[in-house]
Amino acid sequence: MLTAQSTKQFKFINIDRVALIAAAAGLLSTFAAGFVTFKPNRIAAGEAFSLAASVPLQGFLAFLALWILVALLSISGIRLEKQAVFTSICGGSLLLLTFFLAGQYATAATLEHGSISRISPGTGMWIMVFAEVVLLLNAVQRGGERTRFVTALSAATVAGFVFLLLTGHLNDISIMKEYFNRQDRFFSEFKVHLLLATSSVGAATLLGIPLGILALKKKSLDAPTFFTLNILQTIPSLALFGILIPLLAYLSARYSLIREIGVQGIGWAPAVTALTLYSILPIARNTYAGFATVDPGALDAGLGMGMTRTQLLMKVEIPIASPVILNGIRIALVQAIGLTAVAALIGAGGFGVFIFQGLGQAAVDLILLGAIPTILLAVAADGITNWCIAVIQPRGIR
Amino acid sequence: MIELVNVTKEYPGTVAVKDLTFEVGDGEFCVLIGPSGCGKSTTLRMINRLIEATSGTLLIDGTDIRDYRPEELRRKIGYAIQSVGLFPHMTVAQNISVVPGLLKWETSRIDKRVGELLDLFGLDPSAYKGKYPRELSGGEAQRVGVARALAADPSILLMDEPFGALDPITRESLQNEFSRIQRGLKKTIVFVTHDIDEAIRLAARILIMREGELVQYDTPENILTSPGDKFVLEFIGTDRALKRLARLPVQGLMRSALSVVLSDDPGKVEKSLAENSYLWVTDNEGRLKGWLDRKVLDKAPFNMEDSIVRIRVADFAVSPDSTAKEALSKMVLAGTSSAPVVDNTDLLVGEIRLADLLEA
Repeated sequence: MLTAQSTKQFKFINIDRVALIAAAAGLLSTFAAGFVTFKPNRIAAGEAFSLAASVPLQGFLAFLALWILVALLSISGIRLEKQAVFTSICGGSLLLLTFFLAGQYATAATLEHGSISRISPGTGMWIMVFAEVVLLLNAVQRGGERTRFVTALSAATVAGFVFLLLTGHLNDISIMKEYFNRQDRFFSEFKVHLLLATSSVGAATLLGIPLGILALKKKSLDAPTFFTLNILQTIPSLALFGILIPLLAYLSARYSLIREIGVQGIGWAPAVTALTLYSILPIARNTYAGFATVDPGALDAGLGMGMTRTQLLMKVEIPIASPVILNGIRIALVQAIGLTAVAALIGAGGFGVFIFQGLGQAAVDLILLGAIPTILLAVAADGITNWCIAVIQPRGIR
Repeated sequence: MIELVNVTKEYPGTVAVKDLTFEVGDGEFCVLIGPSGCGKSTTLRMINRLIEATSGTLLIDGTDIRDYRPEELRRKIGYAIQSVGLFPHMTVAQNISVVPGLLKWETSRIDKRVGELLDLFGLDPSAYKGKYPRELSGGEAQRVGVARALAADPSILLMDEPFGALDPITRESLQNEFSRIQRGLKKTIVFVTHDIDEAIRLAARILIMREGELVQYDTPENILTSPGDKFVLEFIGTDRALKRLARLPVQGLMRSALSVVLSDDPGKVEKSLAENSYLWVTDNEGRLKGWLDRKVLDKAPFNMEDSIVRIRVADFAVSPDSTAKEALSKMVLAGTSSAPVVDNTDLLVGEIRLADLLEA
C-alpha cells in the first residue's frame, strides 16, 4: 500500500529525455565511420573517414567530453531550466566545433589533393549536426524563465556559424564549392523561390479569407466549398502542374491578353496557379474556424449596444479571429515553400532547380545546395509567422 | 416611458407576437414572462430594433423608434443578455467602455464612469479593471455585463434572462443586489425571464405572455391574489400564497418584542414571564441570546440561568430586509409561532408572529 510517507519519499527526477537521446546520437556519431566523405572529384565514389581519423586528437576529445557532459546533465536531476542553460552552452559549442573542424579538415585535404577533390559531410556529421540542433531547440523550449538567455545563446551560435561561413572557413566543403560555381544563379533562384511562394500565398489569402467568411455566414456554401478545397488538396503536386500545363497553354494561345502578361503552359503561371490552389484550403479553413470561435453572445451584445456591422467586424470579430487566420497563412506558407521546390520541374525556377540538376548529374552536393536552403527558408517563414501570431494574440485569449 | 401599440411580429408560417399593446412607465421595473416560445424575447428585441416589428408602433418617450437610426437608438438603451457576451479580448474596463466609446466620451470621463460602475456592483476597480473575462466567475462576469449595459447611463435597460445561466445562490444574490441598485437608479427596465420566482422578486409589474399574446399585466401582488385565468394560475403555481409572502418585507409586519436582559433581577423576570407565554433574552448591549418559555415556571423553583433556551441567532432570527416567506420558513423549522428580528449586529429590533403572516 502506498502510504503518505512512501509518497513523500518518492521524488520526481528531472530527466531531460530529449537531451539524453541527443547525447546518445552525438556519442554514436562521434564514433561513427563516416564523419566526412572524401571524393577525388565531384562524381567519383567517396571514401568515408571517422571523426577520429579526420580531426586532431584534442578536437575528438572535446566532442567526447561535451557529449558525455550533456548526457550527465540530462540525468543529473537539476531543474530543467538550469539544465537548459548548460545544455544550450554545450550544444552551441558542439555545433560550432563541428563546422569549424569539418572546415579545417576540408581545407587541409583540398590543399593536399587539389581543388577538384570534394570533401562532403558524411552520415556521422549529419547525425551530429541534427543532434546539436535538437539540443538547442529543446533547450529553448525548456528554458522557462531562462528562455531569453537560451534563445540569445542559440542566436549567438547561429551568428557564429554565419561568421564561419562569411570568413570563408567552410569554403572547401563540397556544398560551398557547388555554391561558388553557381553564386549568381543561387541568389536569383532564391528570389524566384521566395516570390513564387509569397505571391501564391498572398493570392490565396485574398481568396481564402472571403471564402472562409462566406462559408461560415452562408451555411449552404459550407459543405461544397470545403469539399472542393479538400479534393484539390489531395491532388499530387506533379499531377496538378501537369493538368495546368495544357490548360494554360490553351488559354495563352487563345487569348492574346493572357499571352501578353506572360502566361504560358510552363513557367511561373502554372506554378503560381497550383500553389495558390493548395494554399486556399488552410487559409479558408482557419478563417472559418477563427470567425466561428467568436461567441454569438458577444455579437448579439455588440449589436444590441449599438455597434454597426463594420465596427463589430473591426473591433470584435477580426481581433479574435486573426491569430487563427494568421496560423492558416503560416501553414500555407510553409507548405508553399516546400511545394515550390517541385515547381522547378515545370520551368518555374527556385531552389528546386539545383535539386533536379543534382539528381540529373548524380551530384549529391548540388541536391543539398537546393534542399538545405529550402528547409531553412521554410523554418524561417515558420518562425517569423509564429512570432507575428504571438504579437497580435490578444492577451485575454489564450 | 416605453409604449407598444398593436405590435405584431410575423415570421413565415408563424406569428411570434400578436397585436401586443402595453406601456412601461418611467422608472418602472417590468418583467415579461411566459413559457418558451411565447414571444417575450422577440418583444424585448423589438424595443431596440434587433428585430423589426411587422406592424404596430413602438414609442420611447413619445418618439417612434423608427425615427432613430438603429445604432443611435441602441446606444441610448442598455442591453444585457443571458450569455453576457463580454468581448474576450478586452479587459473589464474596455468592455464597460464600449458604449461610452461609441458615443465618443472623453477618456477621463469614461475612466471615472468605469470606476463608479465597478464600485456600484461591489467589484474593486483596482483589482478588476485590468482583468479579462476568462478570469471572472459567472457572477462577476454578469455583474460586468450589467455594468456595461449601464455604462452610458441610459434611462432604459433591456435585460434578457440576465441571471438565467447562474447557479441558484449566485442568482439570488445578484437579484438582491440588482434590486438594491435599481432602487437607487430608477431605470425603466424591461426584463425577460421564465422564472416566476425571479419575476415576483424583482418586478413592479409582471406581463404574462402566451403564444405571442398578452394574458395579464399587473403588479405581482394582484397577479398572485387574483390570477386572470387558469393559464396564469397554473403558471404561477400552487404555492402562490408563499410567493406572495416572498414579496412582503419583514419590516412592514414586525412588531416590538418583549425582552429581558441576562443581568435582570430574576424575581422581576419571573413575574414578567408569568404574564407572557415567552420572553426574548438579550445581553446588556441588547444582542439576542435566547428565549424563555413560560412552561419553566411549572417546575419550581425558577432559575434563570438554567431556563434560558440559548439559540444560534442565524438559525432563528430574520432581518428587517428578509421576506415574510423566510420568516415563515424559520418558524416552521424551529416549531415556534414567532421569530425574532435582529439587525446585522444581532441587536434585537422586534419580532414577527405567525398570526401576522396569516393576516397579511
